[in-house]
Amino acid sequence: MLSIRMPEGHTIRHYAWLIVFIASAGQMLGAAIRMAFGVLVNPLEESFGWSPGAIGLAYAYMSIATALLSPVAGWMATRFGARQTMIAGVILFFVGMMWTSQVTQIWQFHVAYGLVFGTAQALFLVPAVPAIASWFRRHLGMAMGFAMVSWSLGPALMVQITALLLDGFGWSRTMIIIGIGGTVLLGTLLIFFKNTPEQAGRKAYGWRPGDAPLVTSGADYKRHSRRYQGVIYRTNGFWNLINIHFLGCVGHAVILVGVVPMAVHRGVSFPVAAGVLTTIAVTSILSRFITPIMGEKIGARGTMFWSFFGQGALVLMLLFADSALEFYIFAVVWAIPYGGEGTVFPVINRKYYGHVPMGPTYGWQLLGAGLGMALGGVLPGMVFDITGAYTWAIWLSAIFSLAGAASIVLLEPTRRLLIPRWEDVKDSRQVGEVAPGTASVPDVGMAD
Amino acid sequence: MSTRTANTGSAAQTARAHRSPGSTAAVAEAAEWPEASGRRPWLGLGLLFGSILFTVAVLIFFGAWFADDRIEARSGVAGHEVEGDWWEDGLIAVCPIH
Repeated sequence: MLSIRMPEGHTIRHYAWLIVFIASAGQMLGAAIRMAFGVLVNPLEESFGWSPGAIGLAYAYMSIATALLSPVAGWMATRFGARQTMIAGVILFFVGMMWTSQVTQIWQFHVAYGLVFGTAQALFLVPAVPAIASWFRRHLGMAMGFAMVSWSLGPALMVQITALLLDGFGWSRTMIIIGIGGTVLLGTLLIFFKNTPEQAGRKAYGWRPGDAPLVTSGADYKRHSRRYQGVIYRTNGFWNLINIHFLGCVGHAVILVGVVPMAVHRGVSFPVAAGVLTTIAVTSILSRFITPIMGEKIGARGTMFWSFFGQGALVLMLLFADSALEFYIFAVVWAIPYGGEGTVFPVINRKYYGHVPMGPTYGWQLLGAGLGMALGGVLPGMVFDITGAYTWAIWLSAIFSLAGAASIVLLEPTRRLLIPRWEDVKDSRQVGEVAPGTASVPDVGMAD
Repeated sequence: MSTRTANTGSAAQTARAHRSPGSTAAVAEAAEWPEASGRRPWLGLGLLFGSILFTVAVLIFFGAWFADDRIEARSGVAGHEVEGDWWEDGLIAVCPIH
Protein backbone atom coordinates (compact mmCIF):
# COMPACT_ATOMS: atom_id res chain seq x y z
CA MET A 1 0.00 0.00 0.00
CA LEU A 2 1.22 3.48 -0.86
CA SER A 3 2.13 5.55 2.16
CA ILE A 4 3.45 9.08 2.34
CA ARG A 5 6.32 9.56 4.76
CA MET A 6 6.31 13.02 6.28
CA PRO A 7 9.37 14.71 7.84
CA GLU A 8 9.82 14.63 11.61
CA GLY A 9 7.27 16.80 13.40
CA HIS A 10 4.84 16.84 10.50
CA THR A 11 1.61 15.01 9.84
CA ILE A 12 -0.54 14.72 6.77
CA ARG A 13 -3.59 14.09 8.97
CA HIS A 14 -4.40 17.76 9.48
CA TYR A 15 -7.23 19.78 7.97
CA ALA A 16 -4.73 22.43 6.84
CA TRP A 17 -3.52 20.14 4.05
CA LEU A 18 -7.07 19.87 2.70
CA ILE A 19 -7.14 23.68 2.60
CA VAL A 20 -3.84 23.62 0.66
CA PHE A 21 -5.33 21.07 -1.76
CA ILE A 22 -8.54 23.07 -2.34
CA ALA A 23 -6.70 26.37 -2.74
CA SER A 24 -4.25 24.71 -5.12
CA ALA A 25 -7.08 23.29 -7.21
CA GLY A 26 -8.52 26.80 -7.56
CA GLN A 27 -5.11 28.21 -8.46
CA MET A 28 -4.50 25.39 -10.90
CA LEU A 29 -7.76 26.00 -12.77
CA GLY A 30 -7.25 29.77 -12.87
CA ALA A 31 -3.66 29.55 -14.06
CA ALA A 32 -4.60 26.86 -16.56
CA ILE A 33 -7.41 28.80 -18.23
CA ARG A 34 -5.11 31.81 -18.52
CA MET A 35 -2.19 29.85 -19.95
CA ALA A 36 -4.42 27.82 -22.29
CA PHE A 37 -5.51 31.00 -24.05
CA GLY A 38 -2.96 30.38 -26.77
CA VAL A 39 -4.77 27.26 -28.00
CA LEU A 40 -8.04 29.22 -28.36
CA VAL A 41 -6.67 31.71 -30.87
CA ASN A 42 -6.73 29.54 -34.00
CA PRO A 43 -10.25 28.06 -33.49
CA LEU A 44 -11.69 31.55 -32.90
CA GLU A 45 -9.85 32.92 -35.90
CA GLU A 46 -11.26 30.11 -38.08
CA SER A 47 -14.82 30.40 -36.73
CA PHE A 48 -15.26 34.17 -36.84
CA GLY A 49 -12.40 35.52 -38.94
CA TRP A 50 -11.20 37.73 -36.08
CA SER A 51 -7.56 38.80 -36.24
CA PRO A 52 -5.10 37.31 -33.72
CA GLY A 53 -4.46 40.84 -32.47
CA ALA A 54 -8.15 41.43 -31.75
CA ILE A 55 -8.45 38.05 -30.03
CA GLY A 56 -5.29 38.77 -28.04
CA LEU A 57 -6.86 41.96 -26.69
CA ALA A 58 -9.16 39.77 -24.58
CA TYR A 59 -6.06 38.32 -22.90
CA ALA A 60 -4.76 41.82 -22.22
CA TYR A 61 -8.14 42.88 -20.75
CA MET A 62 -8.21 39.75 -18.61
CA SER A 63 -4.67 40.38 -17.27
CA ILE A 64 -5.42 44.02 -16.47
CA ALA A 65 -8.82 43.21 -14.89
CA THR A 66 -7.23 40.53 -12.70
CA ALA A 67 -4.38 42.84 -11.70
CA LEU A 68 -6.54 45.87 -10.90
CA LEU A 69 -9.08 43.85 -8.94
CA SER A 70 -6.52 41.90 -6.90
CA PRO A 71 -6.45 44.43 -4.02
CA VAL A 72 -10.26 44.44 -4.01
CA ALA A 73 -10.31 40.64 -3.89
CA GLY A 74 -7.82 40.70 -1.01
CA TRP A 75 -9.97 43.20 0.86
CA MET A 76 -13.09 41.07 0.24
CA ALA A 77 -11.27 38.00 1.57
CA THR A 78 -10.57 39.80 4.84
CA ARG A 79 -13.97 41.52 5.03
CA PHE A 80 -16.26 38.67 3.97
CA GLY A 81 -14.00 35.62 4.17
CA ALA A 82 -11.87 33.75 1.64
CA ARG A 83 -14.53 31.07 1.02
CA GLN A 84 -17.28 33.59 0.30
CA THR A 85 -14.99 35.53 -2.06
CA MET A 86 -13.95 32.36 -3.86
CA ILE A 87 -17.61 31.29 -4.25
CA ALA A 88 -18.31 34.66 -5.91
CA GLY A 89 -15.32 33.97 -8.17
CA VAL A 90 -16.62 30.52 -9.11
CA ILE A 91 -20.06 31.96 -10.01
CA LEU A 92 -18.41 34.58 -12.22
CA PHE A 93 -16.18 31.89 -13.72
CA PHE A 94 -19.28 29.93 -14.70
CA VAL A 95 -20.97 33.04 -16.16
CA GLY A 96 -17.81 33.98 -18.06
CA MET A 97 -17.32 30.52 -19.55
CA MET A 98 -20.99 30.14 -20.57
CA TRP A 99 -21.06 33.61 -22.10
CA THR A 100 -17.78 32.96 -23.92
CA SER A 101 -19.27 29.79 -25.42
CA GLN A 102 -22.13 31.82 -26.96
CA VAL A 103 -20.29 34.89 -28.29
CA THR A 104 -20.70 35.97 -31.89
CA GLN A 105 -19.14 39.45 -31.74
CA ILE A 106 -15.59 40.35 -30.76
CA TRP A 107 -16.75 42.86 -28.12
CA GLN A 108 -18.76 40.10 -26.44
CA PHE A 109 -15.61 37.97 -26.31
CA HIS A 110 -13.67 40.86 -24.82
CA VAL A 111 -16.28 41.39 -22.10
CA ALA A 112 -17.02 37.71 -21.38
CA TYR A 113 -13.47 36.37 -21.41
CA GLY A 114 -11.54 39.55 -20.67
CA LEU A 115 -13.57 41.32 -18.00
CA VAL A 116 -15.87 38.67 -16.48
CA PHE A 117 -13.30 35.88 -16.41
CA GLY A 118 -10.56 38.36 -15.42
CA THR A 119 -12.66 39.43 -12.42
CA ALA A 120 -13.48 35.80 -11.56
CA GLN A 121 -9.81 34.94 -11.64
CA ALA A 122 -8.93 37.70 -9.16
CA LEU A 123 -11.69 36.54 -6.82
CA PHE A 124 -10.62 32.92 -6.65
CA LEU A 125 -6.86 33.33 -7.01
CA VAL A 126 -6.07 36.10 -4.52
CA PRO A 127 -7.84 34.77 -1.36
CA ALA A 128 -6.30 31.31 -1.70
CA VAL A 129 -2.77 32.18 -0.53
CA PRO A 130 -3.79 34.30 2.51
CA ALA A 131 -6.23 31.52 3.48
CA ILE A 132 -3.42 28.97 3.43
CA ALA A 133 -1.27 31.33 5.50
CA SER A 134 -3.94 31.59 8.18
CA TRP A 135 -4.04 27.79 8.49
CA PHE A 136 -0.28 27.50 9.14
CA ARG A 137 1.02 28.82 12.44
CA ARG A 138 4.41 27.38 11.42
CA HIS A 139 5.86 25.63 8.33
CA LEU A 140 4.19 28.08 5.93
CA GLY A 141 7.07 27.58 3.48
CA MET A 142 6.22 23.92 2.97
CA ALA A 143 2.54 24.73 2.48
CA MET A 144 3.38 27.42 -0.06
CA GLY A 145 5.72 24.99 -1.83
CA PHE A 146 2.84 22.58 -2.44
CA ALA A 147 0.47 25.40 -3.42
CA MET A 148 2.88 27.04 -5.84
CA VAL A 149 3.52 23.80 -7.70
CA SER A 150 -0.07 24.07 -8.93
CA TRP A 151 0.90 27.15 -10.95
CA SER A 152 3.11 24.94 -13.12
CA LEU A 153 1.09 21.72 -13.02
CA GLY A 154 -2.20 23.40 -13.94
CA PRO A 155 -1.10 24.80 -17.28
CA ALA A 156 0.96 21.70 -18.09
CA LEU A 157 -2.17 19.52 -17.75
CA MET A 158 -4.83 21.97 -18.86
CA VAL A 159 -3.22 23.03 -22.12
CA GLN A 160 -3.25 19.39 -23.27
CA ILE A 161 -6.81 18.78 -22.03
CA THR A 162 -8.09 21.98 -23.69
CA ALA A 163 -6.38 21.08 -26.95
CA LEU A 164 -8.00 17.60 -26.90
CA LEU A 165 -11.43 19.06 -26.11
CA LEU A 166 -11.11 21.65 -28.88
CA ASP A 167 -10.19 18.92 -31.31
CA GLY A 168 -13.14 16.73 -30.32
CA PHE A 169 -15.93 19.18 -29.52
CA GLY A 170 -15.08 22.57 -31.07
CA TRP A 171 -14.41 25.76 -29.13
CA SER A 172 -18.00 26.53 -28.01
CA ARG A 173 -18.72 23.18 -26.40
CA THR A 174 -15.19 23.13 -24.96
CA MET A 175 -15.98 26.34 -23.07
CA ILE A 176 -19.22 24.82 -21.77
CA ILE A 177 -17.46 21.62 -20.66
CA ILE A 178 -14.67 23.54 -18.89
CA GLY A 179 -17.20 25.95 -17.35
CA ILE A 180 -19.46 23.22 -15.96
CA GLY A 181 -16.59 20.91 -15.01
CA GLY A 182 -14.62 23.66 -13.27
CA THR A 183 -17.67 24.99 -11.45
CA VAL A 184 -18.74 21.56 -10.19
CA LEU A 185 -15.18 20.71 -9.11
CA LEU A 186 -14.50 23.99 -7.31
CA GLY A 187 -18.03 24.26 -5.91
CA THR A 188 -17.73 20.78 -4.39
CA LEU A 189 -14.29 21.47 -2.95
CA LEU A 190 -15.38 24.79 -1.46
CA ILE A 191 -17.99 22.99 0.65
CA PHE A 192 -15.07 21.67 2.68
CA PHE A 193 -13.17 24.97 2.72
CA LYS A 194 -12.89 26.75 6.07
CA ASN A 195 -11.53 30.28 6.20
CA THR A 196 -9.50 29.92 9.38
CA PRO A 197 -8.73 27.11 11.81
CA GLU A 198 -10.36 29.06 14.64
CA GLN A 199 -13.64 29.32 12.73
CA ALA A 200 -13.47 25.59 12.11
CA GLY A 201 -12.81 24.92 15.79
CA ARG A 202 -9.34 23.59 15.06
CA LYS A 203 -5.74 24.57 15.72
CA ALA A 204 -3.53 25.91 12.96
CA TYR A 205 -0.84 23.57 11.62
CA GLY A 206 2.28 23.90 13.73
CA TRP A 207 0.34 25.24 16.74
CA ARG A 208 2.04 24.65 20.06
CA PRO A 209 0.66 24.81 23.59
CA GLY A 210 1.34 28.33 24.82
CA ASP A 211 0.66 29.98 21.46
CA ALA A 212 -1.81 32.79 21.93
CA PRO A 213 -5.20 32.11 20.33
CA LEU A 214 -6.01 34.42 17.42
CA VAL A 215 -8.96 36.72 16.90
CA THR A 216 -10.21 35.74 13.44
CA SER A 217 -13.84 36.81 13.21
CA GLY A 218 -16.43 39.24 14.50
CA ALA A 219 -16.65 43.03 14.64
CA ASP A 220 -13.40 43.35 16.60
CA TYR A 221 -11.58 41.35 13.98
CA LYS A 222 -12.85 43.52 11.13
CA ARG A 223 -12.08 46.76 12.94
CA HIS A 224 -8.70 45.57 14.02
CA SER A 225 -7.73 44.19 10.60
CA ARG A 226 -8.55 47.61 9.07
CA ARG A 227 -6.32 49.30 11.61
CA TYR A 228 -3.51 46.81 11.06
CA GLN A 229 -3.73 47.28 7.31
CA GLY A 230 -3.30 51.01 7.89
CA VAL A 231 -0.07 50.30 9.78
CA ILE A 232 1.11 47.93 7.05
CA TYR A 233 0.63 50.68 4.44
CA ARG A 234 3.14 52.80 6.37
CA THR A 235 5.98 50.31 6.12
CA ASN A 236 8.60 50.48 3.38
CA GLY A 237 8.35 46.75 2.88
CA PHE A 238 4.73 46.95 1.73
CA TRP A 239 5.49 49.34 -1.16
CA ASN A 240 8.83 47.82 -2.02
CA LEU A 241 7.36 44.31 -2.27
CA ILE A 242 4.78 45.57 -4.81
CA ASN A 243 7.68 47.14 -6.72
CA ILE A 244 9.74 43.94 -6.53
CA HIS A 245 6.87 41.74 -7.70
CA PHE A 246 6.30 44.12 -10.64
CA LEU A 247 9.98 44.11 -11.66
CA GLY A 248 10.34 40.33 -11.39
CA CYS A 249 7.20 39.69 -13.42
CA VAL A 250 8.27 42.02 -16.23
CA GLY A 251 11.59 40.15 -16.26
CA HIS A 252 10.12 36.68 -16.73
CA ALA A 253 7.03 37.64 -18.78
CA VAL A 254 9.37 38.91 -21.53
CA ILE A 255 10.91 35.46 -21.70
CA LEU A 256 7.75 33.40 -21.31
CA VAL A 257 6.07 35.29 -24.14
CA GLY A 258 9.16 35.83 -26.27
CA VAL A 259 11.31 32.72 -25.99
CA VAL A 260 9.45 30.69 -28.64
CA PRO A 261 9.52 33.45 -31.30
CA MET A 262 13.15 34.16 -30.32
CA ALA A 263 14.10 30.52 -30.97
CA VAL A 264 12.15 30.44 -34.24
CA HIS A 265 13.86 33.69 -35.29
CA ARG A 266 17.24 32.01 -34.70
CA GLY A 267 16.30 29.08 -36.96
CA VAL A 268 14.81 26.56 -34.51
CA SER A 269 11.66 24.82 -35.83
CA PHE A 270 8.35 25.77 -34.17
CA PRO A 271 7.55 22.42 -32.48
CA VAL A 272 11.08 22.24 -31.07
CA ALA A 273 10.88 25.87 -29.94
CA ALA A 274 7.54 25.21 -28.22
CA GLY A 275 9.28 22.47 -26.25
CA VAL A 276 11.55 25.13 -24.70
CA LEU A 277 8.51 26.65 -22.99
CA THR A 278 7.33 23.24 -21.78
CA THR A 279 10.83 22.55 -20.41
CA ILE A 280 10.72 25.82 -18.46
CA ALA A 281 7.28 24.94 -17.03
CA VAL A 282 8.32 21.43 -15.97
CA THR A 283 11.75 22.37 -14.56
CA SER A 284 10.31 25.27 -12.56
CA ILE A 285 8.04 22.87 -10.62
CA LEU A 286 11.02 21.81 -8.51
CA SER A 287 12.12 25.31 -7.55
CA ARG A 288 8.54 26.45 -6.96
CA PHE A 289 8.33 23.76 -4.29
CA ILE A 290 11.77 24.20 -2.74
CA THR A 291 12.18 28.00 -2.75
CA PRO A 292 9.50 28.93 -0.18
CA ILE A 293 10.87 26.24 2.15
CA MET A 294 14.37 27.69 1.71
CA GLY A 295 12.93 31.16 2.29
CA GLU A 296 11.50 30.01 5.59
CA LYS A 297 14.49 28.01 6.78
CA ILE A 298 17.49 29.91 5.40
CA GLY A 299 16.20 33.43 4.94
CA ALA A 300 13.51 35.02 2.81
CA ARG A 301 15.47 38.03 1.59
CA GLY A 302 18.53 36.04 0.56
CA THR A 303 16.46 33.41 -1.23
CA MET A 304 14.49 36.08 -3.04
CA PHE A 305 17.63 37.99 -3.96
CA TRP A 306 19.34 34.99 -5.56
CA SER A 307 16.16 34.04 -7.43
CA PHE A 308 15.88 37.52 -8.91
CA PHE A 309 19.60 37.79 -9.57
CA GLY A 310 19.65 34.38 -11.27
CA GLN A 311 16.61 35.23 -13.36
CA GLY A 312 18.24 38.47 -14.50
CA ALA A 313 21.80 37.25 -15.06
CA LEU A 314 21.01 33.91 -16.71
CA VAL A 315 18.66 35.46 -19.24
CA LEU A 316 21.75 36.91 -20.93
CA MET A 317 22.50 33.35 -22.13
CA LEU A 318 19.85 34.02 -24.78
CA LEU A 319 22.09 36.63 -26.41
CA PHE A 320 24.36 33.79 -27.53
CA ALA A 321 21.83 30.96 -28.06
CA ASP A 322 21.71 29.89 -31.69
CA SER A 323 20.77 26.21 -31.64
CA ALA A 324 17.96 24.14 -30.16
CA LEU A 325 20.40 22.60 -27.66
CA GLU A 326 21.48 26.02 -26.39
CA PHE A 327 17.83 27.09 -25.98
CA TYR A 328 17.07 23.90 -24.03
CA ILE A 329 20.12 24.38 -21.78
CA PHE A 330 18.89 27.92 -21.14
CA ALA A 331 15.39 26.59 -20.34
CA VAL A 332 16.68 24.16 -17.71
CA VAL A 333 19.13 26.59 -16.08
CA TRP A 334 16.91 29.69 -16.15
CA ALA A 335 13.77 27.87 -14.94
CA ILE A 336 15.35 27.26 -11.52
CA PRO A 337 15.57 30.92 -10.40
CA TYR A 338 12.42 31.78 -12.37
CA GLY A 339 10.40 29.14 -10.50
CA GLY A 340 11.48 30.55 -7.16
CA GLU A 341 11.08 34.21 -8.03
CA GLY A 342 7.46 34.72 -6.99
CA THR A 343 7.00 32.04 -4.37
CA VAL A 344 8.64 33.64 -1.33
CA PHE A 345 6.26 36.60 -1.06
CA PRO A 346 3.79 34.91 1.35
CA VAL A 347 6.72 33.81 3.52
CA ILE A 348 8.26 37.29 3.71
CA ASN A 349 4.79 38.75 4.41
CA ARG A 350 4.54 36.44 7.41
CA LYS A 351 8.01 37.46 8.59
CA TYR A 352 7.23 41.17 8.31
CA TYR A 353 3.65 41.23 9.52
CA GLY A 354 3.20 38.02 11.52
CA HIS A 355 -0.01 36.03 11.67
CA VAL A 356 -2.23 38.86 10.38
CA PRO A 357 -4.97 38.72 7.71
CA MET A 358 -2.84 38.88 4.58
CA GLY A 359 -5.56 39.41 1.94
CA PRO A 360 -5.17 43.11 1.07
CA THR A 361 -1.35 42.99 1.33
CA TYR A 362 -1.09 40.00 -0.99
CA GLY A 363 -3.74 41.50 -3.29
CA TRP A 364 -1.65 44.66 -3.73
CA GLN A 365 1.42 42.55 -4.47
CA LEU A 366 -0.54 40.69 -7.14
CA LEU A 367 -1.52 44.04 -8.63
CA GLY A 368 2.19 44.75 -9.15
CA ALA A 369 2.69 41.24 -10.52
CA GLY A 370 -0.25 41.49 -12.91
CA LEU A 371 0.83 44.83 -14.33
CA GLY A 372 4.36 43.46 -14.69
CA MET A 373 3.08 40.42 -16.58
CA ALA A 374 1.02 42.67 -18.88
CA LEU A 375 4.00 44.94 -19.64
CA GLY A 376 6.44 42.05 -20.03
CA GLY A 377 4.03 40.31 -22.39
CA VAL A 378 3.90 43.33 -24.68
CA LEU A 379 7.63 44.14 -24.75
CA PRO A 380 9.08 41.32 -26.92
CA GLY A 381 6.66 41.82 -29.81
CA MET A 382 6.95 45.60 -29.61
CA VAL A 383 10.75 45.49 -29.56
CA PHE A 384 10.89 43.02 -32.44
CA ASP A 385 8.49 45.09 -34.56
CA ILE A 386 10.68 48.16 -34.08
CA THR A 387 14.21 46.75 -34.14
CA GLY A 388 13.81 43.50 -36.09
CA ALA A 389 15.55 41.56 -33.30
CA TYR A 390 15.00 40.46 -29.70
CA THR A 391 18.31 41.74 -28.30
CA TRP A 392 16.74 44.76 -26.61
CA ALA A 393 13.98 42.58 -25.11
CA ILE A 394 16.60 40.28 -23.55
CA TRP A 395 18.48 43.23 -22.06
CA LEU A 396 15.26 44.75 -20.73
CA SER A 397 14.32 41.45 -19.10
CA ALA A 398 17.73 41.34 -17.40
CA ILE A 399 17.53 45.00 -16.31
CA PHE A 400 14.07 44.62 -14.74
CA SER A 401 15.01 41.42 -12.87
CA LEU A 402 18.33 42.86 -11.62
CA ALA A 403 16.55 46.04 -10.53
CA GLY A 404 14.26 43.75 -8.53
CA ALA A 405 17.31 42.09 -6.94
CA ALA A 406 18.72 45.53 -6.03
CA SER A 407 15.38 46.51 -4.47
CA ILE A 408 15.44 43.32 -2.36
CA VAL A 409 18.77 44.45 -0.87
CA LEU A 410 16.95 47.58 0.35
CA LEU A 411 14.19 45.60 2.09
CA GLU A 412 14.10 45.68 5.87
CA PRO A 413 15.76 42.76 7.68
CA THR A 414 13.26 40.05 8.58
CA ARG A 415 14.55 39.46 12.09
CA ARG A 416 11.55 41.15 13.64
CA LEU A 417 8.02 42.19 12.80
CA LEU A 418 7.38 45.60 11.28
CA ILE A 419 4.04 46.00 13.07
CA PRO A 420 2.60 45.08 16.46
CA ARG A 421 1.83 41.42 17.05
CA TRP A 422 -1.65 40.35 15.97
CA GLU A 423 -1.46 37.56 18.53
CA ASP A 424 -1.66 40.15 21.31
CA VAL A 425 -5.21 41.04 20.29
CA LYS A 426 -7.35 38.86 22.51
CA ASP A 427 -10.60 40.68 23.00
CA SER A 428 -12.38 43.95 22.44
CA ARG A 429 -10.65 45.62 25.38
CA GLN A 430 -7.39 45.61 23.47
CA VAL A 431 -8.77 46.62 20.11
CA GLY A 432 -7.56 50.04 19.14
CA GLU A 433 -4.60 49.87 21.49
CA VAL A 434 -1.05 48.85 20.82
CA ALA A 435 -0.02 46.68 23.70
CA PRO A 436 3.38 47.73 24.99
CA GLY A 437 6.14 45.24 24.46
CA THR A 438 4.59 43.85 21.33
CA ALA A 439 7.77 44.28 19.34
CA SER A 440 9.44 41.07 20.29
CA VAL A 441 10.60 38.53 17.77
CA PRO A 442 7.71 36.10 17.42
CA ASP A 443 8.25 32.39 17.50
CA VAL A 444 6.87 31.61 14.08
CA GLY A 445 9.23 28.84 13.25
CA MET A 446 11.30 30.89 10.86
CA ALA A 447 14.85 32.10 10.75
CA ASP A 448 16.55 34.79 8.73
CA MET B 1 17.06 56.31 6.16
CA SER B 2 13.40 55.58 6.61
CA THR B 3 13.95 51.81 6.79
CA ARG B 4 15.05 52.42 10.34
CA THR B 5 11.43 53.09 11.14
CA ALA B 6 10.60 49.55 12.01
CA ASN B 7 13.91 47.82 12.38
CA THR B 8 15.87 49.53 15.04
CA GLY B 9 16.84 47.81 18.24
CA SER B 10 18.68 44.58 18.84
CA ALA B 11 17.08 41.22 19.44
CA ALA B 12 18.16 41.49 23.07
CA GLN B 13 16.35 44.79 23.46
CA THR B 14 13.20 43.42 21.93
CA ALA B 15 13.38 40.35 24.11
CA ARG B 16 13.71 42.52 27.20
CA ALA B 17 10.77 44.59 26.06
CA HIS B 18 8.68 41.47 25.68
CA ARG B 19 9.56 40.22 29.14
CA SER B 20 8.54 43.41 30.87
CA PRO B 21 5.50 44.94 29.23
CA GLY B 22 4.94 48.48 30.36
CA SER B 23 8.64 49.06 31.06
CA THR B 24 10.45 52.13 29.72
CA ALA B 25 12.14 50.06 27.03
CA ALA B 26 8.88 48.54 25.94
CA VAL B 27 7.10 51.89 25.79
CA ALA B 28 10.02 53.43 23.89
CA GLU B 29 9.98 50.58 21.43
CA ALA B 30 6.22 50.77 20.96
CA ALA B 31 6.76 54.41 20.07
CA GLU B 32 9.05 53.30 17.25
CA TRP B 33 6.23 51.67 15.31
CA PRO B 34 5.52 53.58 12.12
CA GLU B 35 1.97 54.06 13.33
CA ALA B 36 3.14 55.63 16.56
CA SER B 37 5.96 57.70 15.15
CA GLY B 38 4.00 58.99 12.15
CA ARG B 39 6.90 58.26 9.80
CA ARG B 40 6.24 57.64 6.14
CA PRO B 41 7.60 54.85 3.89
CA TRP B 42 9.59 57.15 1.63
CA LEU B 43 12.11 54.50 0.58
CA GLY B 44 9.50 51.96 -0.48
CA LEU B 45 7.37 54.55 -2.26
CA GLY B 46 10.48 56.05 -3.88
CA LEU B 47 11.56 52.67 -5.28
CA LEU B 48 8.06 51.99 -6.59
CA PHE B 49 7.80 55.36 -8.31
CA GLY B 50 11.35 54.95 -9.64
CA SER B 51 10.27 51.71 -11.33
CA ILE B 52 7.19 53.39 -12.76
CA LEU B 53 9.30 56.24 -14.14
CA PHE B 54 11.81 53.81 -15.65
CA THR B 55 8.98 51.86 -17.27
CA VAL B 56 7.46 55.02 -18.73
CA ALA B 57 10.91 56.05 -20.02
CA VAL B 58 11.37 52.68 -21.74
CA LEU B 59 7.95 52.91 -23.36
CA ILE B 60 8.61 56.49 -24.53
CA PHE B 61 12.01 55.48 -25.95
CA PHE B 62 10.61 52.59 -28.00
CA GLY B 63 7.49 54.53 -28.89
CA ALA B 64 9.58 57.41 -30.25
CA TRP B 65 11.78 54.96 -32.15
CA PHE B 66 8.66 53.39 -33.67
CA ALA B 67 7.19 56.82 -34.53
CA ASP B 68 10.48 57.93 -36.11
CA ASP B 69 10.57 54.79 -38.28
CA ARG B 70 6.95 55.29 -39.40
CA ILE B 71 7.54 58.91 -40.42
CA GLU B 72 10.73 57.96 -42.28
CA ALA B 73 8.93 55.14 -44.10
CA ARG B 74 6.14 57.49 -45.20
CA SER B 75 8.70 60.09 -46.32
CA GLY B 76 10.43 57.44 -48.42
CA VAL B 77 7.16 56.52 -50.16
CA ALA B 78 6.12 60.15 -50.68
CA GLY B 79 9.58 61.24 -51.82
CA HIS B 80 9.54 64.29 -49.54
CA GLU B 81 9.37 65.04 -45.82
CA VAL B 82 5.92 64.34 -44.34
CA GLU B 83 4.13 65.50 -41.19
CA GLY B 84 3.88 63.08 -38.30
CA ASP B 85 0.61 62.20 -36.57
CA TRP B 86 -0.04 63.92 -33.23
CA TRP B 87 1.05 60.89 -31.22
CA GLU B 88 4.18 60.40 -33.33
CA ASP B 89 5.23 64.04 -32.90
CA GLY B 90 4.35 63.85 -29.20
CA LEU B 91 6.49 60.79 -28.52
CA ILE B 92 9.45 62.20 -30.45
CA ALA B 93 9.12 65.51 -28.61
CA VAL B 94 9.06 63.81 -25.20
CA CYS B 95 11.97 61.45 -25.91
CA PRO B 96 15.34 63.18 -25.43
CA ILE B 97 17.16 60.61 -27.60
CA HIS B 98 14.98 60.80 -30.72
